[in-house]
Amino acid sequence: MALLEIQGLCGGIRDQEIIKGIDLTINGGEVHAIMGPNGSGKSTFGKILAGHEEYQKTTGEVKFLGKDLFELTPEERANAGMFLAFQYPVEIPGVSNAYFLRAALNERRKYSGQSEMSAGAFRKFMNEKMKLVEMDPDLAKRAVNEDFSGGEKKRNEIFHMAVLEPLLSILDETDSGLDIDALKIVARGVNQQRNDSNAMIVITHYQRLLDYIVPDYVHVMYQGRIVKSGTKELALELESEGYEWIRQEAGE
Amino acid sequence: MPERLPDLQQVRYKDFDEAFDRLKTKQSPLWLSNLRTKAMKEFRQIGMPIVRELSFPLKEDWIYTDLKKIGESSYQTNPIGGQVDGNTLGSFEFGDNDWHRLVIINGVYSPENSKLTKLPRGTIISRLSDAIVENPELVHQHLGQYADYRQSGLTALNTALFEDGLFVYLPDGEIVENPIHVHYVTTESEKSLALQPRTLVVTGKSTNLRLVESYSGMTESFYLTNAVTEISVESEGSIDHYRINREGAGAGHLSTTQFHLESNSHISSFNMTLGGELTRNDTNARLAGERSVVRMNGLYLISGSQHVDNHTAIDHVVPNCNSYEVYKGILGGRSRGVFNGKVFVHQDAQETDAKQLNKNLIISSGATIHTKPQLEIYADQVKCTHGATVGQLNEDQIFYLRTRGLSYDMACQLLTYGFAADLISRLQLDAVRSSLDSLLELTIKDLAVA
Repeated sequence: MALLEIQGLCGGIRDQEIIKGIDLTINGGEVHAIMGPNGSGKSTFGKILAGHEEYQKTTGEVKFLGKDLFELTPEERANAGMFLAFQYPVEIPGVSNAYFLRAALNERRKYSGQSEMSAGAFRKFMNEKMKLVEMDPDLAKRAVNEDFSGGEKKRNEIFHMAVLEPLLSILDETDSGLDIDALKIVARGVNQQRNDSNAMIVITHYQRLLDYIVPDYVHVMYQGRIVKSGTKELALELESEGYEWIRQEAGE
Repeated sequence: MPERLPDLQQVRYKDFDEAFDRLKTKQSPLWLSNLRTKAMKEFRQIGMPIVRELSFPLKEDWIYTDLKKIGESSYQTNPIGGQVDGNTLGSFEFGDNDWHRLVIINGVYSPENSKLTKLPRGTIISRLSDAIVENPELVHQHLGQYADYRQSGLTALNTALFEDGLFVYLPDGEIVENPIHVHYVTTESEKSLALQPRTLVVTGKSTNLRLVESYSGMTESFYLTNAVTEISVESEGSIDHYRINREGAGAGHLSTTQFHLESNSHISSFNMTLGGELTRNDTNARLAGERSVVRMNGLYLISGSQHVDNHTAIDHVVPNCNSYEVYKGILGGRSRGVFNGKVFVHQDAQETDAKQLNKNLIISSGATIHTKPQLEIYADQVKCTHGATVGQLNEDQIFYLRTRGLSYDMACQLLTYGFAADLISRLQLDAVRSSLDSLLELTIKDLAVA
């Protein structure tokens, strides 16, 4: 069974259709990169999958682990194993990373019929994950993303991902705003979590991230559609040619 | 001077007149009888501050809080005492057996639930009624010196009719190692009780103490608490003060708290309101000595048809003093909140640093908040800031938490907790901090359903 099967997905925000027909299948063990110029609909794609209320699908079908994705609330999607790493992670004042991650993890475990993790067991589990993604232990005690630098916020997303062990992670422009060192740490954290059962959708504007998180497939989005798919070589072509030739090929 | 409507007053306050007559028959030092008589005379002149009978500027202070029902109710005013189950009472307690405890149930001292010990070197932690007998000069010197009955009908009423409460005295240099908890409890009674708890805390130079005042109700029926607390600290002294309102769902809670600070002293106070149908707190500080610092923080969590009005007033009389105020409110149901923060900076009070912040989170469409900072600044070398916010839960934050697997309700509760959590996490007294943190979590869960 594929992790994610998308057929003819169209959708957008209010009256504006942004996604105009996407077909995509993602299996366990795969990393798919989604690239494209600004306005191509990359972020909208991620938000529709995660269940953001403002973005609605108009037609099409999406099956997540064989279930109709749009029958599930955002939290059900998360509990079933979907994860969205935000382009602009949100601050949650007054609530520590540790506290809320334990609550989130236990919701996931309850959903799949497992018992909740005690505070002590969770502390141990969390410490292992912090080591895995090279996270500063102090940041776990602090309120989620409050007064975090841009790089710390992005790394915190990867830390959340590590704790929740999702089956399908959507990384929405995780590299935006990061310098090369922060980028390498984020990429290492992501790579540490890759296995044969899970999959990732890496949404990015620049090819640079894909030097570190090497994709199995690269798709180029333009005006709400995937106009070209290939392997990691496609990303290198875009790097040297820019998006202009995509526009030309699409018949502009 | 508020206008008086003579005929209405006679009828309206007859229960209090009877209470005063009853007190006259009890034995009492002359200074106290004189004080009560003057206070009662004042109360008969001005009565309770009922908004439609007031003129400006006093009217402005009561514009959102109508005491008409409270003023026109009839009451039982004699302390009748009562029983509360040990376990129930215990759930309102803090800390361990080393704490000093004074429990007063329906106006009467409850010895089996209290723990007052004789302390060395002149330190006194006792019932106010005992202190009046055993240390009359000391009480006379301070009682009514800070909360002036001439300034307020409610203070006048309490001063005329109070019968018991807490008295604390620390001579210079003394430290009370263990915290003090005074718990004023009201239980069910045939007729609505009107109680006048009185707390007087006088500390000397270089002293230190931690005090918790609780006001709790074990009944949902209407009753009235009209409390006055005076806390004075001498040079270099330091007081950590907590005030927790868990009055019954139908109760009226009116309070006046007056802080007096001498040079280089420090008072930190936290005022938490959860209970009561109508609460009005007047919390005032007079920074009378240079380099004194007062921190007055508060939290109100209300829902249903609760009404909470927090009025504060900080008087910067001399130079180089600091005042910090952070009040936060979480309002659900059809509740109403009011915040008015006055800061007076007198002409001589140069180098004043005054910060005031009121933040409100409205979690239901029926709740309202009225918030007003009021700064009167007559000195020119000062730093005074104020801020007020009113907001709702942020949809982006809710979505973020849902993508991590928390349900919509759980996300809202977590965000609501996070809104108030920093006020609680700053509290210095460990036992109180952890209790109030749990109380915050629990109350928020209930608020969500209300």
